[in-house]
Amino acid sequence: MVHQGCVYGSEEEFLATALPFIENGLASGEPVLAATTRANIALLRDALGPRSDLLSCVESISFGFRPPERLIALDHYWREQVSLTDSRWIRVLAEPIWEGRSKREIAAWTYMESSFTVLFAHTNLWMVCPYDSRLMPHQIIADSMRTHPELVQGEQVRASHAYVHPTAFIQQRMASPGPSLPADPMGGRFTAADLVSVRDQAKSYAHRLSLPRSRALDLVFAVNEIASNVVLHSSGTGSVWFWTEEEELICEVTDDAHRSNALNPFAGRPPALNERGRGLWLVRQLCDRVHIGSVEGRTVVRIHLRIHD
Amino acid sequence: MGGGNIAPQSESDSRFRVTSVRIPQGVAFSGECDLSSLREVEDALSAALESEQDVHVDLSGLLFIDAGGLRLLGTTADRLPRSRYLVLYYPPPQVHRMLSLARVDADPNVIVRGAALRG
Repeated sequence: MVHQGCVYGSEEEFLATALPFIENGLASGEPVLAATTRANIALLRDALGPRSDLLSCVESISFGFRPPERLIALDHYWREQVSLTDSRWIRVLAEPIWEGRSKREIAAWTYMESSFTVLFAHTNLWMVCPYDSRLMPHQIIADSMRTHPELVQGEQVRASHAYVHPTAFIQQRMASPGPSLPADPMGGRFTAADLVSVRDQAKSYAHRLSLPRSRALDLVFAVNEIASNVVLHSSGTGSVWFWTEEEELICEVTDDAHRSNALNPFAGRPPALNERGRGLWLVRQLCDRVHIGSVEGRTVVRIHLRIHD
Repeated sequence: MGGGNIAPQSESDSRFRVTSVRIPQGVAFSGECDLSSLREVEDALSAALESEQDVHVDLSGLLFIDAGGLRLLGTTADRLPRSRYLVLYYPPPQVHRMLSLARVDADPNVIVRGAALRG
């Protein structure tokens, strides 16, 4: 995968980077998708003229609004195109959605931007992510340089000096404490015999927070999967806690085992074409954030779900 | 998004069951399919594979299926020759959602019948 950030401050700057990226792809017969704002799509269509028929366009907002939806959209596009063509690259201009986002949504999306580089490392996706500096706060622009290994301006590509490897990036973010201590936590210890109660607890907690039904079921699936991993692949016992931070429900599963080979922080990547996804890949497709880390030698998996849309 | 919240269910409602279905000949899965039911699911699907026909599975009573259960459905489809199908009937919305995310429904040997729209 190639994952490049692009900061632009005008229509001209947007086109100077986006157009060559798209035109070079089209000239090589590669699939190209532009997921960007309505205004930018109009600019691209105008500049490409009749060739714009070859470009697939979608408004950013319809190409995955929540982080897991963006992950699914990208994975689907990649899978669909790979089955249709054997071209070297599958190009996606993928403008993130920042406007109207809360602090937590921004954190979740930034986290995903960083994770993309590792999650899709095995694919032939070439993704350029445009950031509009006229609209974005400074912190978002600064983070784009931490989450993208390369920056592109016009046709000039340079390594991002501020780039932080995703492993380090997510650890930094996990280490920083939330704004408040967990409020009203619920949970406890579990063993292999307790998966039904773990799911029941997830349902009760979702009920307490009035989570929409489908989101509650996503939580149930995710926590069951993470707890099942502990039962199946590790010590067989652990603990699960649910709590709320601002508008997010957090669920944390800690494995009792001290393991020298802790779970990879990027476990649950999109499966290769001839493989079937594992449980954690499904979990990633449901949660706004999936954080796999270790605390005092124990594997901790923490998931974040938005309580309401 | 559909209204209503999920209320905790009592264990007896959710116990996993496999029952046989006559017409078309197949099996029905109901309750919650998790780690503890995988063996039963695997046995039922393997037995169904041995017949020379399509594998019919009624999912209308399935309240929950985990990744392991989804994987067994996928591997069952993999083991079918091109001329035979795994036909999944009436998956409830959340089960159907997981069938899609796990790409079980994208398998050329899988047919999903009577899928409800996501609630």
